[in-house]
Amino acid sequence: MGRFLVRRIISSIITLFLFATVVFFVAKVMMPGDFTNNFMPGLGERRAAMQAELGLDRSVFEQWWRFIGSFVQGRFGETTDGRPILDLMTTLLPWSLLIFTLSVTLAFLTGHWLGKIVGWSKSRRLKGIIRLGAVTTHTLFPPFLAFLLAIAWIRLAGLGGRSAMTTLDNVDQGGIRVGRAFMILPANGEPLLWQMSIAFLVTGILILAIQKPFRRMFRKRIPGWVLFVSWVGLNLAFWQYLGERAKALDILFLLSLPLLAVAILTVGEIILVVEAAMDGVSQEEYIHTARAIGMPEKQVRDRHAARVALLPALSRFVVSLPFVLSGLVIVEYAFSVPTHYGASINFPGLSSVLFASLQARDYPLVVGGLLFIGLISVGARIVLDVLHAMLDPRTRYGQTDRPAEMAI
Amino acid sequence: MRRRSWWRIALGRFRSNKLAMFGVFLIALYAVAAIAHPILMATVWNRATYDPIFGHDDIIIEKTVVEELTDDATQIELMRARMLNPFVAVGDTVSEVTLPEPFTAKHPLGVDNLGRDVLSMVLAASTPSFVVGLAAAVTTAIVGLAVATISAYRRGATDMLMTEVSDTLQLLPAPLLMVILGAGPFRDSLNPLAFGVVYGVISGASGAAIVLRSQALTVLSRPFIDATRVAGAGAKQIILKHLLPHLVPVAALYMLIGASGAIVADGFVSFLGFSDTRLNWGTIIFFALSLPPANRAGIPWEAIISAAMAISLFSAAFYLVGLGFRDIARSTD
Repeated sequence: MGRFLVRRIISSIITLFLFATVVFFVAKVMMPGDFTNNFMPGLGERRAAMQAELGLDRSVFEQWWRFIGSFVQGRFGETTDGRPILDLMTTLLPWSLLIFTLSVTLAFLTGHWLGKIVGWSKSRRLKGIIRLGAVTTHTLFPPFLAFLLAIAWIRLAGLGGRSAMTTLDNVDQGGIRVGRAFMILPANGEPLLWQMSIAFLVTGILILAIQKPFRRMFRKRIPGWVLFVSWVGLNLAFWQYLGERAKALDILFLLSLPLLAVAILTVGEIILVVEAAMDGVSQEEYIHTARAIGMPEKQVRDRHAARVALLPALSRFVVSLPFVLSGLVIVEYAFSVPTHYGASINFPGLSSVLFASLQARDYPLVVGGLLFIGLISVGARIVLDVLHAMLDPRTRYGQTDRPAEMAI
Repeated sequence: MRRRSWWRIALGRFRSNKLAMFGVFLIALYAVAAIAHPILMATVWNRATYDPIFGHDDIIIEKTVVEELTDDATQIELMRARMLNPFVAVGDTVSEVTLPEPFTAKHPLGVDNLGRDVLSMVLAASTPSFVVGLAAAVTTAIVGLAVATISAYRRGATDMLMTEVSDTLQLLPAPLLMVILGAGPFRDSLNPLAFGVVYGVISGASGAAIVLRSQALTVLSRPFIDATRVAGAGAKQIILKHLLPHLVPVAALYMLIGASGAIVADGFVSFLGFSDTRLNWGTIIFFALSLPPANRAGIPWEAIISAAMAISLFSAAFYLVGLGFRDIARSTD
């Protein structure tokens, strides 16, 4: 496992290096001329001095090398009005990260559950319906889904026409100018978000870790719902302990919309892959053996077939990760598109930076946003690969070199 | 007895797959829509009312101004009439402009907030979407197959380099990149064809290439490849005759996934107003949400839902056909 991890990390570093290069050239292509074009049209000498100061008079290769160098040192530069991009990103990142992890987990759990039931059943009609439903949710137009959810949410919660975000005093600071982009941002970072994210993770791992010793001692499994309820309970207790329960619930309430939207857009593909994999697994020898020794049907399905069917879903997810990520950014933004029907929610996340900076042509911020999306992507890839290697020993020993092997 | 060819078997399997056939039917339906629009414009629909960009239709009703409303159809309250014309008095007539109702023979899907016929807009938008989808599909397949075959056949340094490039491009989400390109200086040249090709190159060189390459590696490790090599076949023959036919169904799957992704991405880019395509399902939704509603109570659902359904069904059609190809790839392998 250690060697596998080292190999994965080294290859990720190479990928990140290439990615930074691609982003650099995308930015170069996007803005013909340079930063000084923006505000010094005619001032020849002063412009040349500024270019020299910023290092823009050197060759493209040298500029690229300096760009990579500052990326390695963690210097992401500044927005056009001098706010450090790194600060901005670390303020906004937890929002997107929390939505991403929670919605993907939700989509995986429901998708795997539905896929395993459908894939195991013999009913052709059920298969047809679920397949069609999965394709429908997978190809739903994100802004449309966002609009529907926002309207439903506002009507259900009885929030009238205005934005529902006023419950969070920290976020509701009004607009702040970031670079040339105007957007709604939390004035200072929300420390509770980091604490919440870490608590979600730690309690989740804790509860999963309890399962094995419990099974060894009592020869019994803990049912899934007990695990889930205790996970929720632990988190509630943690917020109570911090004395921030109301605020934490507000944050979750705010998160619920994009979370649901991303989960809906992701779940269809997982259902399809798991369903197809269950179909293939059901003809395997060991399934017949398990049935022959008199194992209950449900146990055969859940313990022997469904676990194997998890692997292709994971591999497929590695391939479609960029689409989930861009789906996340799109959904986040789609919620904040101003409409005349009171259904726009300004959501502080990566997308708000990216789109606001795009509209304001603040390219350093666009580049910073892209680099952060790349970082999340690489991080998620490593996590998924490790999960895959834990579930499938072949990957660890290099017999199949990549998890994408089975992702048809 | 004649052996049934591989293609025959595959076609038979595809035909018996109901969902895939439904996808083909949907694509055919959109093709009919794309062809029908210019014909309808030339024959039945007049340009002033039905033009998808400049058309306009409204209903003007003459109403008598009264103090107390007794008949809703012919009378209007003084206070509301003053908002239309501040100088009216009781007893005058004012003309109130309203938008036509949906589900009538004249406007089957109603009109949007500007009074443009939704059906005409939706039909007209299927042509650029077809271009985007087909361009993305073809480019994805060509680029994916080329990268995968070269890196799987050559192995070694070429393989490593190409894999790294695929991994890198995978970090750059294609829909997002299209948005960025649309916002940059290429905004004017980002027509449907260019959009489809750029999207196809990215998705072909990343996701499709990764999966196709691993498929190619499993095919190349089979004994029959060694057998053909021993029999004296060259690289060209192995790749063209033995490797590519095994990759075609998987390539088709990724080609169609690429197409459906490109259609949604195109809709999104134009939804944001970052693309030069003025006529698009995405822009229909954007205008329905962002233009001030003229004399209309509530949300213009007919415009939003028709356009959103058009996008979803179109990309779902490609996806369903792709699933049909996946089943072929599984069963004939």
